[in-house]
Amino acid sequence: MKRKNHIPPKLAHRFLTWFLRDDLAEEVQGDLEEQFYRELDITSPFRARLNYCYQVVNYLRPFAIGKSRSIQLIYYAMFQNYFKIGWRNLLKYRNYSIINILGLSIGFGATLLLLLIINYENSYDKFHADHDNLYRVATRDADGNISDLIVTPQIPLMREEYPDIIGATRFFDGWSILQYDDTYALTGYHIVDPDFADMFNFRALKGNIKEALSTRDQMILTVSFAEKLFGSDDPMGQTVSIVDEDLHFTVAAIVEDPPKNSSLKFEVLIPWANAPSWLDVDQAGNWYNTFMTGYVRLSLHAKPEQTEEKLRAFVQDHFLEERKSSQIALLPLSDEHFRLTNNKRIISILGIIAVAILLISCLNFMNLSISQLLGRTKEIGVRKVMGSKRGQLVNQFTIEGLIISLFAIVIGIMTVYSILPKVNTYFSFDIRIGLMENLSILYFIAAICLFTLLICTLWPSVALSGLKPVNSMKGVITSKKSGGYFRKGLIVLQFSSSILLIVGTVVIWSQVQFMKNRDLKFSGDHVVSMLSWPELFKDADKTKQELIALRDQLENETLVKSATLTECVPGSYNENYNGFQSVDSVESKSVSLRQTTVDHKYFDTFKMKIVYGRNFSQANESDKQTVIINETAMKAFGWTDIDDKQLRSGGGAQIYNVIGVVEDYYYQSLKRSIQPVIHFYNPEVTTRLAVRLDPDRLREGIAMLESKWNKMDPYEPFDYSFVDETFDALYKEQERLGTTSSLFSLIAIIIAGLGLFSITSYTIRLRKKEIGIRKVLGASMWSIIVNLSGTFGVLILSSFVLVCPLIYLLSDAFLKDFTYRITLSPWIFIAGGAMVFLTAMLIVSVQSGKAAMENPVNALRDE
Amino acid sequence: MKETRLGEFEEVVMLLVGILGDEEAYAFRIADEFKSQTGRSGSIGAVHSTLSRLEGKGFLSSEMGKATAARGGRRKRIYTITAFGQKVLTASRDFKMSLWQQYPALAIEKLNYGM
Repeated sequence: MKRKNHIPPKLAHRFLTWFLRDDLAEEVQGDLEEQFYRELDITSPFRARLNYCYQVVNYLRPFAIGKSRSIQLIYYAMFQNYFKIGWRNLLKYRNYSIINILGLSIGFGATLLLLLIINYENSYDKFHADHDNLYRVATRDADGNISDLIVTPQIPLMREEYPDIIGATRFFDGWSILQYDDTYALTGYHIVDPDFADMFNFRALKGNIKEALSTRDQMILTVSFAEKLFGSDDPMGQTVSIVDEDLHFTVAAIVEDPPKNSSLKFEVLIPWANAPSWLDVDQAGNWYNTFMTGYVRLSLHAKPEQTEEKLRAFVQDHFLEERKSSQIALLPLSDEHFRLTNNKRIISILGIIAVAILLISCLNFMNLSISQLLGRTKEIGVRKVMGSKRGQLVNQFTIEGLIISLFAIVIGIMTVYSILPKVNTYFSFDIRIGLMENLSILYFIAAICLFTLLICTLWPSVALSGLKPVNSMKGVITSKKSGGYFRKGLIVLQFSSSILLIVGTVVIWSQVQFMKNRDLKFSGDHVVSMLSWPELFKDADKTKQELIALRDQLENETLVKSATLTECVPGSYNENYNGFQSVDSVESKSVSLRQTTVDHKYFDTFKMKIVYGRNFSQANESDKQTVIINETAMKAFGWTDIDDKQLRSGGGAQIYNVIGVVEDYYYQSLKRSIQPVIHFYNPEVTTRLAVRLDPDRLREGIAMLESKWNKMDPYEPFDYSFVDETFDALYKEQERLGTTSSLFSLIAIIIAGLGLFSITSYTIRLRKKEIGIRKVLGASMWSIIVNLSGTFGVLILSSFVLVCPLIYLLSDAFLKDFTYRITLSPWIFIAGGAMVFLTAMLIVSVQSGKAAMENPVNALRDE
Repeated sequence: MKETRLGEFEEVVMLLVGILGDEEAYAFRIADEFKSQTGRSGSIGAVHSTLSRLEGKGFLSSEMGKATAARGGRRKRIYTITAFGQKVLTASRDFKMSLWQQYPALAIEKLNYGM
């Protein structure tokens, strides 16, 4: 009587079983129970329970505590069996296995590749040991606009006056012909301050950078430029001349080429001590003309924001009156690449794609594994009845999953490895996978592998091993309620990601097309442009006159419509600004104008419209003191007409008459808005020659130009580019992104399609009997197809509805980068959604059609 | 060389194993017997730990007994003394006997009345 009402304290009992060695469990529990009931007979239940607890605690002895679990045998034979069964299942469901491996390896490979790209983009300028403390000096005007060029005297003065700045260098780029012996090479050279050596970590192969930069008349060459100029000769100690500046240098150091992931690119470095007088002496007091790049290094403890604050005093002390409202900005070098290419957002988009693809393929894999394992419920049941523990089932399914996912990962890695060179060429990247180059990437790969393996294998096996043996023996698939929702959820997630990627791609492409197709208000088709400095020719003075003659003479050629000599062509305007004031207005507001110099043929050649006033005229000698501004500039000065309007340039006494206003044309990427522009007139500017050719006889025209060019004795061979093509190249980044994201979206939808294919075929297999019965009872083929496809249709529609707001937010964020952007029309969404929907429905209906046409006898006959 | 000396508790436990015999020498019974024989209480865990130590030294061997309804169908682990264990036990007794034989008779009187 007493016994039945009392059992040993549950908590103590559970504690005992928790810590006790498994092999002792039986005897100890027996002993303690015997003791308990004995105590119960002779004392009170309370005392018996107390005693039980006491006994349990007393079993907390080293010999009894559960090290047994690790001591347990590793069932080698069982593992062998798992592998065998896993392998057999792989072969038995060959189609599933191929789809599974293919899907996962594509997904894994794509993710890996994207992550490598992202990692590379993030690696820009990080190779400088002190990259966290390096900043590019810029100015931020009152409206928050950044101008990254500065005046010449600014850098040395900042270095002198601010102890926080422990290094500073100018990085002036000039182009010229360099001469060694009788070899000439056109190259960009950079003039830098001695601090350059300490701030940046470019590696010297021969000589010493620091020494070379602090000594007059010495020069540093990159290895590839040295090869170009010297061939096999040893360049060290040789003399190199810059022909047009009459400067002569001794080569004092050879450095490695700046890595591809460096924002600073150079071939030749020259110490500032050798700067030509027009750059150094003449500019010493010039606080208005910004054309210099400068970098500073802050001391370890200086915060950039605080330093910017302190530099306000510098602006007050030195800057011109009209620029005193602006502020010196320090732009981190580690962000420089993103700032220049404006692709930080692009990189995050690629990141989203990478995660989405990995997610899609893992979900796919999971979904497939689960549905495949559901077909093996009987096996699970039998195994459980035969004494298999849950842990062992987990082991088994994990091993099967491991086989497949390891296959997939290996295939994925090999694919990435083999296409990496092509990717590098396409993006002009320099990604390398190797032990020596980047150990961190390998960790990275290992981490994704582990993630994939965990998600893909452990999870389904844990979920499935929990099935109740009785149910699974009966073949009852318990998933009909809970698991079914879960799998449906996975499908929804998968298709949401696919729709996201596809619509995103459509948005990117529409934006690129929009920018390319926009009326640029100038015409660059069939206009070839070539760099035509007189210095590029052996006799510079003669060539200058020849070029001017050539321009005038080309007018008469039948192959040529029009020709102009100019400083810049649209798409490559210099970042050259100066402040201008209206002379007659009382409150003399200064406007920063982008400066360019053109001749009288410029606007005609590019078919730009003069909307007020007139074009420059060659006949009119006084036109050299006149300027033409664009509409934006006119608005900036608040003018409604240009009668008697004059401009005074900042820092100079020069006064210009405004004789015309040109319609706002796009001289730079549509990512940026049109700024106020001023065109100076110089009929003898010879930086570039631009020629509009007869569209029907382009080839002849170019051949004609080449022969004329070669007659002028150039150092370098004839080289030309079409202005419209150069301009379109400004969208290279966006186009690449478009291509990349379309490619990867395609991959994503293929994976999702594969997944849907196997899920439907599996579901249909499960419902085989149901279909058979329906047919026997008179259901038509169509009603069956509709019935089967309906479920999936609903799932895809709901994923579309779910993902739409997210797509909207992301595309809006992407488009914020562009000044001229498309409006997001609902059609983009509907088109993307419809595409996914139709693809999915095609897959599903083909399969359900197949099932619906099946003879019901085959379905209903069992075993 | 394995430890062959016996502690006091170990010796008693071994003797009890011998006394209880083939059917009864399992941890709970031994602990119970220990209590009734010595009047000291010892937990089953302590006895079990000693038993397993003695088994490790080779003095005892054990086997799972038959299932009985009494303890929820769980089996008992029955300990028996091995030949080696028997030898160690005998040696321990002989050693003490020899010590007692050398002990002066007078001293025994003293011991008996002194305290």
